[in-house]
Amino acid sequence: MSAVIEARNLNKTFPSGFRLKDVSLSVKRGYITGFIGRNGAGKTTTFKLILGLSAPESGEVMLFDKRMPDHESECKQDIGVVFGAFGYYETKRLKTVTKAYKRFYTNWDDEKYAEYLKRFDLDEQKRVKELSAGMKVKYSLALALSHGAKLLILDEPTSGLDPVSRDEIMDMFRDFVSDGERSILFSTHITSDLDKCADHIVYIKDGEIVMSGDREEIMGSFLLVQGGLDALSGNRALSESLIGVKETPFGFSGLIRAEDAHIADGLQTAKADIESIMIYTEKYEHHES
Amino acid sequence: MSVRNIKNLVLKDLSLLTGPVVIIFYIIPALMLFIPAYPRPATMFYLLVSIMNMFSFDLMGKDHEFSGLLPVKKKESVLARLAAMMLLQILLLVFTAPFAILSNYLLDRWDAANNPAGMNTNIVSYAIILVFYGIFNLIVLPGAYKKQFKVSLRSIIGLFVFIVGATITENLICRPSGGILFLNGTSGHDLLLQTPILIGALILYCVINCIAYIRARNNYKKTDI
Repeated sequence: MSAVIEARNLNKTFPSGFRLKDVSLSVKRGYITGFIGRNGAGKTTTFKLILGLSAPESGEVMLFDKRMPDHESECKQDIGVVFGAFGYYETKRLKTVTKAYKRFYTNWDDEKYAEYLKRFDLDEQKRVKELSAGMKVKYSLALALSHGAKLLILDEPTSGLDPVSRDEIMDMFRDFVSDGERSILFSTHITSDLDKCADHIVYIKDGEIVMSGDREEIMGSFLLVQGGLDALSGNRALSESLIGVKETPFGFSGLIRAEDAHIADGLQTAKADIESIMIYTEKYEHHES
Repeated sequence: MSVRNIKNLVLKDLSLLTGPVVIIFYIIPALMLFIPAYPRPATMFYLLVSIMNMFSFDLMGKDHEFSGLLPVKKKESVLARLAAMMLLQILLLVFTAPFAILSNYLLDRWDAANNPAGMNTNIVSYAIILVFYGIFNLIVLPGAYKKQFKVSLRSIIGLFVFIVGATITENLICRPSGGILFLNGTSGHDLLLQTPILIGALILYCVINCIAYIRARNNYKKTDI
């Protein structure tokens, strides 16, 4: 299983004090990788380092087995990028922007582009500023999908979209990778999107990768546990093994590793989804005192 | 570096960052050449406002981010921006040249051949404009790629240096002493003698722009988009 993106030990410090610490991630050919983390965790920054928009202080990025930024232009020929809603050239018509954009891609497909415009109900005569946030995302996707890209790097591609459009786009993503040759790396806050289509998950927290691997394996390695407060106070082993815990006057709910399931004997347990893993790791992070 | 990429980037810059309004910056200077008493650098000044706008539109339209996602190298973006600036500048000089010839002919017939506000419009005046266009590029371009395209102050300095520098240089030349009277002349013989100065100015313009490119490219390498 070869990797289309191989980022190794990326480090970068920003004037604001924010640091990316030894970020390594790998995106396998033919798979969809979801990149999750809170706002400001370093997702967009990592994308920028991968795409050569920012230079890392140390570490290296390989795209299609070619080192960046030495092979920047040839690698980017095969990459479609969406950085959220299309936020460029607000006063220009879509037609003008597309005309300037398509010249750069040797495999640009006018027919495919027209197909996407129709599918997304986009009017090329409109100016960028006249589009809603959702339509801007769709326009970005239409551009990214019309030049025969082998890899899509998408930063919040479903933000601002209604549930039906989101579902349609998830189907498109699955369809995109179905030949086993094309891959997607996408970041999102909408974790239900990941449940629908992501094969792998990379989780970044405070500029550091804290989890990375197969989605099913990650979900299978955690359990949600619920019970009364007395069960929590009376079970030291449970308290120590909790990754995150939320206490209410009626009881507690928490996240534990699946391997610690025996500690929660007699308590209610359930398989954790990506959202719960994220929330309990971030919001209800447990510090044993 | 790919010539195709540079060409596409120049076309992108011209279509997305300038637009049809740039035509006004060509017509106005051409018409102003017919004003009998007027400092000529002031007529060629307006185009630089249009170039300054290019950088403002870049900032507003996030063009540098858009370009960063395209299959081009960072240094190609820098070279293309400079090429677009140079193209606009040289095109203005070429476009206004026939108007300059016509204005010299008409002003001569109206007994207003000598421009009391500065130099006559001739090859030397074009050479001076060209060199100061280069200096403007040298001030603005490296700064743009260092300060994330925030070039308001640098553009104002560039415009100031252009207008003051070119006007002073013209005034030094149009009040000559000794044997350099031909520098302000408009006769066929004088223009022939002035031609090497234009060639020299063209070489100097290219050298200055090369320095501007190298400095801008080095600045952009260190800049995060």
